[in-house]
Amino acid sequence: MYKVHWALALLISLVAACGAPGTAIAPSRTPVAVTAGLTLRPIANIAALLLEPLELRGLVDQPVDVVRSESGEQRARQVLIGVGGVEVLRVESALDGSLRLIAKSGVALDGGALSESAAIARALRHLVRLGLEMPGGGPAVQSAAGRTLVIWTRQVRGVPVLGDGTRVVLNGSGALVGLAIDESPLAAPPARIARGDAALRAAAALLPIGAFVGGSPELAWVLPTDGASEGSGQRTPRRLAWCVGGALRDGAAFELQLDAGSLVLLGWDGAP
Amino acid sequence: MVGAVLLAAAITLAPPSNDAVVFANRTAFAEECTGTVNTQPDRLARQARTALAALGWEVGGAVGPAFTRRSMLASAVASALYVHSHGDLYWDSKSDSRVGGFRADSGLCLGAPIILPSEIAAMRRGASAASLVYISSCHNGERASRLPAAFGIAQRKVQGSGEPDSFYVGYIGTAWQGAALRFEQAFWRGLLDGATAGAAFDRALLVAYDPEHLTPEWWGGYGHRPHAPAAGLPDLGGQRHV
Repeated sequence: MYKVHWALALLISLVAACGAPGTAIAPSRTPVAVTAGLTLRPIANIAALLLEPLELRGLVDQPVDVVRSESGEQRARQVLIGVGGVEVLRVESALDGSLRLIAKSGVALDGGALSESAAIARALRHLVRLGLEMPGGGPAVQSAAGRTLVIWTRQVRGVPVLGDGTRVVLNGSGALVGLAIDESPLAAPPARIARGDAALRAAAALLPIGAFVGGSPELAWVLPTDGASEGSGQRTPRRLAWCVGGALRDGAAFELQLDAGSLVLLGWDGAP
Repeated sequence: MVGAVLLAAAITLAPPSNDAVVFANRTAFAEECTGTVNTQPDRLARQARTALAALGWEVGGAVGPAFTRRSMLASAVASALYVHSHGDLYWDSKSDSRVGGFRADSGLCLGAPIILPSEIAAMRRGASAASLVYISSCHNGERASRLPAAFGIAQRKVQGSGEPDSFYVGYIGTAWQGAALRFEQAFWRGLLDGATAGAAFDRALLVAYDPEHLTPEWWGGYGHRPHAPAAGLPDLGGQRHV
């Protein structure tokens, strides 16, 4: 299947690179464009929803290319460049056409502070305006560097899939900085899930002298071998794991991820 | 008198070098210290080295026990700098306050030497503000950390006119390595795609890191492009004009 996707991706890149000059930035009358057999929402249409008319002037589009995301997914990438070669808007879609990422550059650093409810409302409004699926459940809201992040973590039967879901980033006045939608493949869950207290004992057995586990273990879908190998960049299926927290002798926090069935170590994370 | 003034001006306006350094603490996170294999410090350092080299910098530094207090301070004058280690608001007896800083590796699980902002500032006296400083540790993105000032970077965000040619990234509170790995990968990727430092930071906020495990912060010029002075702008060829 991946080979088919890569062949398709190559074909798209070749056709896009060798194709006729780009069309005007004016939004297309059709909601989708078919490029070498791939159905994509034209970036000009998305730009028309997100940018002021004056901001659209002088933008140039780059040929569609295929990239691999940080999570390892193959994506078709569309980019608009402004004056001086500065990227203004980037749109990435999965090869089935589903929108995965919108990133605007240079969004104003407004000093306003959004309340949590206002941030959620603005994030939902952006999703509706862009015709995207409404995520289920309540989001987490966090501020970082003058931006507000509204994050709906994907849940499968009540268990979070770490890193998956819908993430909307806003500036201080609620304007969209970007959004991302991630959905990773999941491995089959174990036939029998080990008990939480067994996970605590298994984790404690792995620790050096002076370190201890603490709190209650929690189930989550995690990317295996995150701490110990180069696996995180690949499209590796998430595995169901018990996440056990604790502290080392010097007080530094850590988390061990153990396979929910076999309690084999899947990954490690620490806080410097 | 005139000679002295010119000399002072020459020292003050020393042009930025093409030197970048990447330091990462491996020992404190290694199996003998934590009980589990952990390749994240090497991966974080490799990402930074690769990106900085692609941006035209001559990259030095050290990963593991060779990252000592002495080796780091000797390189503190570099124009681009990346550090991954334990960080905290350490006490500086000279200023009688908590000021930030980070630990060297020095081959020690615990109690490795601390590098304070005042020591870096002393080494950088007369140098121009650093182009890019990335402190991948806990606490050095907080207001109380004086590391940005030690590198000549004011703790303000500037976008538009009057932007400084500098960019500082740090983390507020506790920063987990897994989340940092994802965030930093996206930040470097953004820079290599030709984004400005501020836009690369914004793009990194969109990747799937756990927000409870990382709160990134930046100071400097949003539109700054932290490539080496001798390097050209990234090639944005292939664009279609309309």
